[in-house]
Amino acid sequence: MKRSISKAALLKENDCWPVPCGHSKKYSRHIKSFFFVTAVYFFSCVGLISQNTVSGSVKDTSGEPLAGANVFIKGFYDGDGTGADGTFSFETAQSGSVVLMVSFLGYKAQEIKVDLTGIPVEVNFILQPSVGQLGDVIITAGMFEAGDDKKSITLNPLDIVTTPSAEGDIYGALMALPGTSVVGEDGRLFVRGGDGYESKTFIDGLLCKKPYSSSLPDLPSRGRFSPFLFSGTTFSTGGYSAEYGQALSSALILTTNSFPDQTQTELSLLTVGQGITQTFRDEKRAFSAGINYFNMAPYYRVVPQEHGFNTPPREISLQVSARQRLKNDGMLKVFSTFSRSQFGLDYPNTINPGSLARLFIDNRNSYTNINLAGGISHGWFVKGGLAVAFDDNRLDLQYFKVNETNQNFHFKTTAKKQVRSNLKVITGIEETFKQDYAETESGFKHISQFHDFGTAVFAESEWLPFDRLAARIGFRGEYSSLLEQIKPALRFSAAWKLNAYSQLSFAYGHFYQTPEEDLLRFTHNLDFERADHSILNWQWERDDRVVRIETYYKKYHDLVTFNSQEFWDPNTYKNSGSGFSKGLDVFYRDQRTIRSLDFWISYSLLDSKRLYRDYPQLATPTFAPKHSLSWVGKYWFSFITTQVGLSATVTSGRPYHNPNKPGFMTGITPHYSNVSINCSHLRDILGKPAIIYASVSNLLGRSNIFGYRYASEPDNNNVYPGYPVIPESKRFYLIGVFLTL
Amino acid sequence: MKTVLILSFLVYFWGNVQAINPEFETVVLETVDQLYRDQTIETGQSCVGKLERIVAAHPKRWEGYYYLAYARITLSFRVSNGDQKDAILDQAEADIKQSMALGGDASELQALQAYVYQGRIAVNGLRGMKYSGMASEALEKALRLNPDNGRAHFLLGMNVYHTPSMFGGGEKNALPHFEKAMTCFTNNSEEPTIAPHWGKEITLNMIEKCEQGE
Repeated sequence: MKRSISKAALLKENDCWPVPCGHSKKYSRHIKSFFFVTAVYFFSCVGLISQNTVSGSVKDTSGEPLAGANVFIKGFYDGDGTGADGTFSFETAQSGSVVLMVSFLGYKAQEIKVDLTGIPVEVNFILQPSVGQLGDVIITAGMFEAGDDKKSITLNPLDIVTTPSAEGDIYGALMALPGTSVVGEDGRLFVRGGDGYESKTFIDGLLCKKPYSSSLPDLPSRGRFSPFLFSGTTFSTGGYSAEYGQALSSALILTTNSFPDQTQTELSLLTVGQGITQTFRDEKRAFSAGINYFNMAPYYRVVPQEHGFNTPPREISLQVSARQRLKNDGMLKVFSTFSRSQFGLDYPNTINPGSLARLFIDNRNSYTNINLAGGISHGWFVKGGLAVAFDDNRLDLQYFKVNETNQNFHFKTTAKKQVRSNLKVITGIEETFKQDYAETESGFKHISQFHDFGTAVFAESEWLPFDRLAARIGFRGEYSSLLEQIKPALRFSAAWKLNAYSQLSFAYGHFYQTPEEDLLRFTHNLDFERADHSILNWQWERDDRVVRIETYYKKYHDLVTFNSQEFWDPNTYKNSGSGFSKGLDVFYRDQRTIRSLDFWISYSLLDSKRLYRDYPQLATPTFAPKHSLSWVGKYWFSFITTQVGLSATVTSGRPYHNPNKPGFMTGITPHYSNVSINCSHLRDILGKPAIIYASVSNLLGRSNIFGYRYASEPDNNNVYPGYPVIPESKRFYLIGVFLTL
Repeated sequence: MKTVLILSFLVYFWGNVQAINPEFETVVLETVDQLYRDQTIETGQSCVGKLERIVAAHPKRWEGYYYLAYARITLSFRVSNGDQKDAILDQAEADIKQSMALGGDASELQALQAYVYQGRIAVNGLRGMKYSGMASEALEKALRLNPDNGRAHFLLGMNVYHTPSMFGGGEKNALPHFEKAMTCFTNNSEEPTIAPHWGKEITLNMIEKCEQGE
């Protein structure tokens, strides 16, 4: 085939050359000159039709052949694309001194002057990667990244909603990734032996203070935000960039949709609620507004629950988002949500065993995120943002009431610059203002109001000294006005590309976090809690298959401890805790082996112990099961336009403390398992695309036990009465229709 | 004598330039023709390579970028790897933008953009929801700009054809679009020029397919 191009080109050349000869005949009466001209001309023509062969190879700097590079004579069409072995060969009618050029996406174009004299010419090119291509060595230690819907590594919105065990929750979907533990009675993210509070969520770079719905003890919370709001998900299980702080274990970095694809109306009709979102867009700006209402009452009437709900969960939420395109690739994004939710249930009473306590919660929440980004002079790209969170929780715990309000302002500005083709720097400053106030009706009035101003500065550089190595060095300084402490943190990570498909990454860093509000309620005389991460990662990726193996060691320092008997005494609160987590995470995703089947397998081995809060000694916490294994698979039946998803999770038993037995945290629950299935059917309803969705959790009907609770006082026989913590219902069924108008 | 000499040289140089770089139009049409004739990946790749070279030599011609984008989309349907398809379509989208910036035919380029969206669906059927909507939006735009754009009618037909019949798609519903496309093609049945002209043969094939299916 390569030959035929050259032949075609050659034919054209031969077609052309008789034309000037014909013209020259007009001047034939000048015989002498005719001969002269003809001689010159003929000579030239001979030169013209004589073929020159140009061949050679194109390789990258590591000697790997590059297939598909375009090698040609500059300004002309003669050329060839390199084959799988990186070689090329073509014939050209050009002669004399020409410029041979090679171009290939992701590499710098190269030019070489060659003399074509009729002797075959051989040229071997070695191409340097271009700026964009340097990103090819991505530091993967601790990182699960999904840039947009094209990358195959982890999760895009569709992956999240179609993961059966996730039940449409972002956090639920992340629990099918290695490094996380399923803690069914809580619902938050628990990463590598870290407590739920150690994982933070960032939206467009800004802190999201309350990413989970408010809940009562032993009932799982869910993420507040719909997965469809985000186009990018970066989930870090450790060792993350200096840009992010105030999280000991994990950072979930969500990027909101940049610009809607089209003007549309989206309707969702579910067995548990309804929602409508309207989006408008033109070339420059976009606006969308939506309202959702959920009420579990009808569902609970059909599917009985373990405990009586005096108020079945109900929620109304509003969300607004606006986008405006600016000059220099700039964009202004505003995203805002408001919600109100209520629910109440009658739950076993630990103070008065055998009776039920009537619990009720009323939550109001708002979150606004404003982001402005754009290029300024000298190649700097600047981003500034403000996040405002407001949360008001009113708890009625029958014996006492708690009103907890939480306000959080987070302001952050960053500046990025590609200094050289292989060096990128990012620097920034952030300010957090946190106000927390809690009041109870049983005597602790006003003690817990506090303000905290947090300031952080960071700078990080990403350097690619040569195309197989990427190194990132970052520094972060953290200050809290409440703690009156300044902490410097170092972050370092590097990646080494072993070959075209695999690479080795390493990350190390210090992470600080201000103690939680429920501790600061009692005293401000505390220090930052600290964790040090070391992570080693190997990743192989080829043709829609990914393998990741990661091992880590996380050391905890200065965790807050207190005495459970005298928890109201500020003097018992100290930063004297410590702990560690070590383990191995394995991930395999395959979208290729079986056509139309996309599946991934995650396995985590975790060994974690800690001394913190009211623990009397170093122990494995309740949220650190030793083994977690999960499988998620989705099969697309194209002839009925239906996707069927299946997920299976098994984790080994989790520790719990049984006061009737000697020692601390010596009990182990039975193992946890869950097999869930879902089905999404695409079809036209009234000429509009629609998804009909159905899911069932815990298909096999396993009676999972998350742990045990015991009464605070022993009974007459000197035994602490206890009860198991179990899910509200064995299975959860969901049917819904999603319409786009 | 002097005049003769100068004239001869002028004539010679003119001939020489002509001989070495065939007309832009001719070589583009030849390459596109080659792309139709042989449906292999190799030909697809070599045609894309050749068009890249042509575009490099004529960076101011929107038609060059148009056909380069077209050849890439064609190639994306030939390769099987999803990531590769996406990478090729990314390049095609960049070419369409470039062609637009050079003042290319907006209706034709909108239609080509719709073709890119259809290529994206080929990567993963679940994307159909998103991209078939975007494709029909782009095609509506193309037809607003030029209601006689046969390629836009053809692609609209393909959108319907690949939607299962129980969802308002299928052969029967696609046929009117293909027939409309055919009318447009026959009305403008001049000799192929550099202006976008592909689509007639494949439309005929599709009409045949639809009629057989009924």
